[in-house]
Amino acid sequence: MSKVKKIDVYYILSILSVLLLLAVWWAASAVNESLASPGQTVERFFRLIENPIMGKPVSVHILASMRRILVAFFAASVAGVGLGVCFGIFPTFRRMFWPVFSILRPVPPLAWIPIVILWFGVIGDTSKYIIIFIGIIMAIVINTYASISETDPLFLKAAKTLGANRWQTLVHVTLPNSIPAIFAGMKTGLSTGWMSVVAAEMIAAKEGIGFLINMSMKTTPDTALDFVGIVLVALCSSLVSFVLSVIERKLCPWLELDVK
Amino acid sequence: MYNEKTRSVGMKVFLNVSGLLMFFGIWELVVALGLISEKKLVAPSAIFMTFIDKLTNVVPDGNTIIVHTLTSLELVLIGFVLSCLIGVPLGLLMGFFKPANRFFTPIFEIIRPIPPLAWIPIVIVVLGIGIQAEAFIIFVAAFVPCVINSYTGIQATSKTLLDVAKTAGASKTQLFFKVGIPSALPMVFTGIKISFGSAWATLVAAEMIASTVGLGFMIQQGRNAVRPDIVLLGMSVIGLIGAALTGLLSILEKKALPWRNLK
Amino acid sequence: MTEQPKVSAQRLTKKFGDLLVLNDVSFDIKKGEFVCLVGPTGCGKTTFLNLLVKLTEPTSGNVLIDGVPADPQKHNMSFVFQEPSTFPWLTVEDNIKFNLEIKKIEKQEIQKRTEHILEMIGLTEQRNAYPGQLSVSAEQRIVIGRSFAMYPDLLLMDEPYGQMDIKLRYYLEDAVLKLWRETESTIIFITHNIEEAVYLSQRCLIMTPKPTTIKASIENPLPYPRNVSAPEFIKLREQITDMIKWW
Repeated sequence: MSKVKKIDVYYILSILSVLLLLAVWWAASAVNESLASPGQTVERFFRLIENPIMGKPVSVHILASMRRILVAFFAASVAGVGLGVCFGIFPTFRRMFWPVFSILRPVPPLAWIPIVILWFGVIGDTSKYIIIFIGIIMAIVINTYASISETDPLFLKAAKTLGANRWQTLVHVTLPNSIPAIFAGMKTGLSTGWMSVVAAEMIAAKEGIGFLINMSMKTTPDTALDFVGIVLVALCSSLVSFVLSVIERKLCPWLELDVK
Repeated sequence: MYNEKTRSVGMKVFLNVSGLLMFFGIWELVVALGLISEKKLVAPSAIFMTFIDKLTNVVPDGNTIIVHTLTSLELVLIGFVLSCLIGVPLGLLMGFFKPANRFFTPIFEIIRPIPPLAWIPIVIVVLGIGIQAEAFIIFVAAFVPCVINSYTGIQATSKTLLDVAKTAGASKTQLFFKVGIPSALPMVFTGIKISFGSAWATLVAAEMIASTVGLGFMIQQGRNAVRPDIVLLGMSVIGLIGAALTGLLSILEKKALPWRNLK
Repeated sequence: MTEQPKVSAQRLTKKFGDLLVLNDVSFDIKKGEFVCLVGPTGCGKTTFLNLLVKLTEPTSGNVLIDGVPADPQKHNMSFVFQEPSTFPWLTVEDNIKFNLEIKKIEKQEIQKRTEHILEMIGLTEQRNAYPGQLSVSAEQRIVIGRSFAMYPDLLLMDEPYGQMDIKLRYYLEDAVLKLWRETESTIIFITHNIEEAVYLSQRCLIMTPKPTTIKASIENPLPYPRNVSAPEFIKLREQITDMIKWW
């Protein structure tokens, strides 16, 4: 009996915290008139549906951002895992190109924006894809390489005694063992990726959630529109991460054993 | 399996250097042969010349590179230090005390997926244009990894070690300070390093907020003036300083955690 | 007029979900007694010790220490766990001081005891090393030293010598006996090594698995120090071995 009551207390704490967050938001908007309240944000969302910006409904903006992140994410995953595996299993390749990768790595993705725009122009999606791609790939390469090079030597010995060659060892031992780390890299990459999406769309775009956020700064500040953008981007990024987690669980069912 | 025991030291050094030489060599060559327009890419040597020049020259962005660098450093350090001071204790409390966990986790989970840049319009309205707004964006970016790592670190505290202290009669507070926090320290440091990376990575974006000085501002101006040398110089300085400070944090980490990596 | 027992378990029952682990166990342990719990691996001995120190709550029943409910904050007791349990971030010396500092014992006294314990476990020279730099058996010596340093009046040991080589085990078995005589503490010692149990204890509680109950309590009147090859010793050892084999 007393245990049931205890759980209830914790639930109340969780609900209380969300309420407090809303209350703080609401209070802040009451103090500062140009800051939209939660109510105004909801209202702004419906106004946006009835009254699209530049004739484009909300769905267009959402889909534009989703398309950009998904295309870049797919490309970065393929390239990143490939590169990470090469670093992991070809010592010569690693010796030659790890130093090159290491000097490019500390340059933050957003710092690439100006040069990428110089190279590929501000109009069109090429620049955006490249910026987002750079944002995502770094973490994937690093995690893939790290987990491959740290594969438990015992597993490798076991594979060797069973007569596996280098390729078989990679496909059947090293890669499966690295999946969790690769997925962790993908998740880190995605959060940088979403930041790059917003940045790229804020700088130059005709649609996308970042575009909406940027529009909120034009002429009179429209913070309600920014909050709409914030909620949309948070929802989209949570959705993508969720799908990724589902795929991860499907790919490595053995991980469930670790969950308490 | 994938080791390289048979390879001599000289060969290793040769391979290491050859990759870099190839990278910079091809880069110089491509520009020297005119394969890429100078309006798009300049040679590494030209970037270095621009660096020398920018030590004293304030054209086209209004300040020398030293002023830009110091301004950016100050900005990043303010945001980063604040995020550590708030994020680390918060993560530790959330990970150790159940009520704190239940209370803060929902708020944190709501805020976490928001890209720091999306806050810009709101931050401008609330804090105005200036260093506070920029520092806040950096703070938000650095805050999340601090919390997550401290939280995960302290949650992984060995149950046996907690039991040892419990059976010796430790109170909840003693458990937190004498067992929980030391256990979490390695993860806390990892979080701090990631945090610094995020803070530094957000610099360019933060300086998009109508600033007039800073490395991020400098490369924006370089783009507007179609000066790829300035853009690339800015990227190089950002990269170098980022790497140097991350290295410094790693050294600090080794000093602070003498029991790690003993063998 | 009977003396109040040091530890008194009253009808202890423990279930994990539907699994009955401990079924209606009652016994008393006298002040200053050295008791060994013997039984096959997996018979819930560890759960049993955990109940004694309130690391887990019993489903029903009670544990009294000195006539009051067990409470590590009030009683001066100490627990040696089976798993390695040194604090990796503390030096050997600070590991030994850990419990004493929790108990807020006076600085001078802490230093005095620490020197004594370091001497006893033979790690004086490695006092500034971290546990990660030492061998597993040295780590276990630290753990035992840390417990002894409290001069506990109730010492609980869960297979503490399991991972040690024979020579070290003999040495530490004598050390625990010495500590027991010096401090007049009460000791409950879990082991699956019957020879060890007979060598150390005044009384053996024989436990059976699934669910754990106490099948027998065997007095061991042999005088200390005991001779493991004496006929009486072997006889007692065989007697206990037979009892365990039968279940």
